[in-house]
Amino acid sequence: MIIINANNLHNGHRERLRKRFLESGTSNFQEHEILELILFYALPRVNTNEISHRLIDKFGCLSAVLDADLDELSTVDGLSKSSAAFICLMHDLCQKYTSACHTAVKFCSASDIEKYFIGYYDNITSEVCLILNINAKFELISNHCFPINGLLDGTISTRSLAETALSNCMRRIIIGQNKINALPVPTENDYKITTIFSDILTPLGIEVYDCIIYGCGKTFSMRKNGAFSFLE
Amino acid sequence: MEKQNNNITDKKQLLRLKYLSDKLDSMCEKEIIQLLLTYSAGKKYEKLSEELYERFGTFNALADADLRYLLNNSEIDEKTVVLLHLIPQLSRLYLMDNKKISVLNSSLCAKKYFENFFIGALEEQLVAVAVNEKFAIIEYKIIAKGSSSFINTSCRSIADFALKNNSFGIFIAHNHPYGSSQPSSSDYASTSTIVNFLNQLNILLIDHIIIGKSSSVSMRELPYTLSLKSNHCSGYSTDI
Repeated sequence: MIIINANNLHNGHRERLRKRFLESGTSNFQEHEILELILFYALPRVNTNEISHRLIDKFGCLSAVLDADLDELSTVDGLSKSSAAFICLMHDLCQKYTSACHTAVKFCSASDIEKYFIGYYDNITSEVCLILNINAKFELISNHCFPINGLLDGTISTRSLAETALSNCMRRIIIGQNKINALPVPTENDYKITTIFSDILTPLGIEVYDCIIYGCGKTFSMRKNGAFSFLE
Repeated sequence: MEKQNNNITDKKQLLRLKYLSDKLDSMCEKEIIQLLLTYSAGKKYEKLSEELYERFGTFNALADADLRYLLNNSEIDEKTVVLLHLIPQLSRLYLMDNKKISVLNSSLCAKKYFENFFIGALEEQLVAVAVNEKFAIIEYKIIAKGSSSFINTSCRSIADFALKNNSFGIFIAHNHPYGSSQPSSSDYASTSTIVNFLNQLNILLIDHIIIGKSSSVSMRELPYTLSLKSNHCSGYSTDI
């Protein structure tokens, strides 16, 4: 006699669904199956199929489920407040992800670049180096963030910097560095970081266009202030 | 050991509470990655999120990470890979549904439609959309995936799709996931081939949209003489 353990049955189903997703994405998924895939993370030991159907029945479609607020979601039978919070998190992460897609940032002047860094660093509480990958028309293609400590102590290797640059098809970059509670006056470390990028990227044909230092809401452009001469 | 487990659980709870009270805006990239991984990576979520943050720097870059890289990294289990990969796909479905565009009567609409369509796509894809006389979408199909020279081999598939859907006209679009939206010389050549071929079947190629990493181009809007533009397309407005 074959005894089927309910837990194994669920695990098998979950594994199959994940495999299917990895093979072909969501293209052959129905909306309730995508919700099931999401709920696996919020409800590790529950049959999520019925809850997914309930969610679609109540809200109408997948995007409406994602748009629902925490209280509305928590009223669905089988969904606790903490599992409803995970659906809200997925919604917020999607918003965060799409907000960076096709928001076509173009830098028309040096002050546009400085404003971009001020906006970025305004809420950052640790020292990070932000690399802007820009094209010949000064349109932003992507940005990449590295902890300054990791660059200085070599934890982030020059090889991994080169890999990032090449895999993102970089042609021209702008380096940003921030200071916490200090004015944007370039220090030895700022020059060191600029040199690290310049030494590895210039031979790859990638132009280091500028290095902007941020501190206390102000910026310092190495290019504008002639501080780039140290690289020559 | 029990004390250590309690400590991990406390940290998880604190992160989740921080999200619930202040939302994502109050969290730095590292915390966002940590928060997500609390749902998939079990006890090793802290170590793993630290590594991923150092490697990718931002949540978006991590969500865009190559699936093969993630799967080959022994520290990351399949459950976490699926969760990370789910975000771009879910974002695409959310936008396609939430900002539903059902009529492509201008280059602006067409660009927006395909921008949403290609969100999260990490490989090149060629898509065809069949429309009726009023430019309402009848059906779409991914014609080819993965190769930058696919258009040359796709005439038959596009014609087959257009005829099956009894379409008045066709839009085609492809993406440059990591590059500019500017058409390459082969894009010009292949568009011309497709226009001429579809003309023989009395099917109009209305526009060819190219979606780059952060911008998009309608080939009908380009200031050049192209065979695409020799087909008059009444009712379809462009930005020029």
